Amino acid sequence: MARPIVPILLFVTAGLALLSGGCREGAGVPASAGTVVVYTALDQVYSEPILKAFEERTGIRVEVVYDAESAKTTGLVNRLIARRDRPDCDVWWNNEPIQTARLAERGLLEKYESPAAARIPAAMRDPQGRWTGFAARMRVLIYNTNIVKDGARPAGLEALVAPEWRGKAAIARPFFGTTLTHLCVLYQAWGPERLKAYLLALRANDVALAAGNGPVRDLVAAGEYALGLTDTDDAYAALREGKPVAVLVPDAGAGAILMPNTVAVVAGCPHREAARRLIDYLLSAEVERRLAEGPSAQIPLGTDLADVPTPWGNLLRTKAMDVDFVRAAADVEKVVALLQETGMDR
Amino acid sequence: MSAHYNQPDPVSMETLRLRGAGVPLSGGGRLFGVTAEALAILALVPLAAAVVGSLGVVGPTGGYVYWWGTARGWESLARTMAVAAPAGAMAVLMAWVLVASAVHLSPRWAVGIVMAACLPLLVPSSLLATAWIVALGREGLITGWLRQVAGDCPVVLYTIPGAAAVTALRYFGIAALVLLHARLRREGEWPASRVAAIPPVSAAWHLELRADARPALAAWLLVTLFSMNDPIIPGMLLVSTYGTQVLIQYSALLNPAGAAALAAPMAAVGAALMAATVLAGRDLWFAPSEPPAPVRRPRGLFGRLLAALAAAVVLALALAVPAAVLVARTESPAAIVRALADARDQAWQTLYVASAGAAIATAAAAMLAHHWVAQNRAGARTAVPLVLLNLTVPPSLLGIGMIALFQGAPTAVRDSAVPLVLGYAVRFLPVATLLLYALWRREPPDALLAARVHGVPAWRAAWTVTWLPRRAAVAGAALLAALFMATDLETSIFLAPAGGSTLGVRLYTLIHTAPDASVAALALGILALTVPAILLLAAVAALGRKEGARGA
Repeated sequence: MARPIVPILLFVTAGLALLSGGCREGAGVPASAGTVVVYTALDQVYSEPILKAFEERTGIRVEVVYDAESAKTTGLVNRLIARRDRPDCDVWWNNEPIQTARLAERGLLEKYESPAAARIPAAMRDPQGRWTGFAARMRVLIYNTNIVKDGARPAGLEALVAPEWRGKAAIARPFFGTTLTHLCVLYQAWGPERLKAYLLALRANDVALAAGNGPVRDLVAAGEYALGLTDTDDAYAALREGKPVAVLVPDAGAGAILMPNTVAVVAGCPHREAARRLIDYLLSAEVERRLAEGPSAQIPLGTDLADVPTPWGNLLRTKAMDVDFVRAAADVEKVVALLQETGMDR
Repeated sequence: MSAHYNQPDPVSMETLRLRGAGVPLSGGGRLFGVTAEALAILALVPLAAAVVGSLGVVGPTGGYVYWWGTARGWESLARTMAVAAPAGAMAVLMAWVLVASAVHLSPRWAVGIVMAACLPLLVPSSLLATAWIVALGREGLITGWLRQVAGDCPVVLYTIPGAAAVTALRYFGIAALVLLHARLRREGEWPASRVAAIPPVSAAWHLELRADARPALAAWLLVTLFSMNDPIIPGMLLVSTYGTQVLIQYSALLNPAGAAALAAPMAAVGAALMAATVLAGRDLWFAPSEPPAPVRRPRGLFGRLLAALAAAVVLALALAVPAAVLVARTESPAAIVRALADARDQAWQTLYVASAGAAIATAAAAMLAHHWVAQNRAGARTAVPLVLLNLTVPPSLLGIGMIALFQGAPTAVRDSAVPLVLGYAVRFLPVATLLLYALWRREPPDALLAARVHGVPAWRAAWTVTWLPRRAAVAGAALLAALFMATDLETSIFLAPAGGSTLGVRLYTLIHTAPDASVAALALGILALTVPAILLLAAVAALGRKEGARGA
């Protein structure tokens, strides 16, 4: 016979351990001016140094939720929506505008017109002051120059459904991130029927679905696939490393798709003052310059940074597409339904 | 001698007296038993919450009919099994070669080799997938070498067989454990075959291959079960399994009910696989608790060398190749230190949540295992084995259930590490429970009673008879659970709080965004952090064996 002294002792110890550390101060606890909680969809490698710099400069502790690449942006958006009654997040820093506009339309973002936002063109700011854009990226078609020779250079999005590239093209899973943004813009430009036909053609052409834009770049750079859709910051990493890749703007007939980062204060957030200080910092010329000159080579939007060189000179000559982000945000659910209907969730 | 036999045994007499009086002779009394049963049921609450939630589908798509009334769910299941079943077969093949070779050395070597085969279980899936992409991707190190030697690389990693092979390399240690266990149990049969002069071919057929069939089937089922619940490796190799679709439902469509409606039948498949495993290996699991003492087989030097070579090849493939390519991709040792310094917040968080989760899981497991053993000896039924379900179901299902349970909790709790810690505890409770049950069922049943009969004070008996022989088992279970928790990814993705990311999540995020060199440096850093825990586990196991031998 053995008495259960071991389990009972262990239980008491474990309970004390959990109680001592489990309920830490942070999100949801009484507001402290010394903390700000950020959800960010910008790649951790780019956003982390900037947030650390803010932390060091102000002494405000920054608690961050980065997204996993496979659930880019959307996972965080849905986490915000799910917690709308009792938000744990103060600052929403997105790497694209449509999901931000979607949050704004649902009343999850509060108005804050940062003094630092004056340097950003009005077209990149929410007319109602709920979010502000900065430091943009472009959607690009990346191709492997060892596989795609000059004569066969893809012209645009049609290359992904062309028979000669059957089974040789890749895109990120289109339910997430800038790929979803891209499809929402195409929905606006093409209408539902043409987009549906395009999605069916993608499936018929065995286009691979990667976990994100970074993996698309890696697959194309490694020669696993010949071409794919990605963002300029991802493409730049391969170009910088001297990989055999080149990029072009996949013109959908209306110009290049320019996607700014967006920042906003979350409605009802627990640390409002700290949130505003962080947003002022993120919208500063210093941060935009840092993002432009850094490894993500983002495109500065501030009127005071027109002289900052970018590696995208040629691409920027393509006229930027005139996108109504608020309208595109209203189409997200229709696009998701189309994706399911066409079997892109398999 | 005869006089001695005629004397009444005082322990037996006391046992008979207490039994006659209706006093329970094992377990901790009625209250303890009820508490243990309640705890077993409580551990299943997150799973139940997810299943119940799956019935309340939001919107027109994503429910049971959407998945299982059409081809969608079945296609998803078929794709998942197309990876998992071959992964199980490859794992069993590798494990069989390893074990069949290792037992030719010595039982101690065999155990050591099989433990080494289990090491990939203690690193994140994403780390292993990264290593193999670095090794055998189009621009991989081995691919480049093969191109130089043979003109091309015959292996294409981004395929279902590629995904199955990498998955097999992570889980084949489980198969090796099952096969070794079976081998050690019947080692004593070999001398009999030699005495009976059975021809070597017949002996090999009947005593090796045929005898291995059932354990191999059990091992295949078990590895298939673990492989089907791992969406990370196939996902990184562009093979979509049901785990990817669960994530799309949950994250992109904000439809946890739809995610659970896909995952819940998969959980039933997992439970069926587990039941089949139990049936296939019933001779192993339900055999007498003490295996026969292994007998070292007399083999010539050449035979032992050949066996050592075969085992070395399998281990090199599973361990040395991934480690070597990560080392080759890392710029310098300083890069590893830098990667760990950058990840120190996540490292501390991982240490905290894994320690707290392991403490809770082990405490609960100790209670459950103690009760399970007692019920088993009394021939009574118990709900404790049901907690094994938590290991057979998709981790995403437990994550969804846990989120549902904490939805109404105070924000200070909901947004803290508590859901993650409890999520870990629930997920890995079966590991600790099984380990403790397996060890404690071998204990002499009436040791404490004997102490009582001989007048040992209760506190002293509790310390020397109950705690001391069990401390190594408890420490081992806690360490093993902590290691599994520290390398978990899926539960962490679902439940990690703001500012509370873990090392596994950091690695998984960086894999998609950071250069290979940074990822390799962090992966090696994680390996370096894991090594002391593994060494500690080995030391605890050695201590346990020593104390067990002393007790015997």
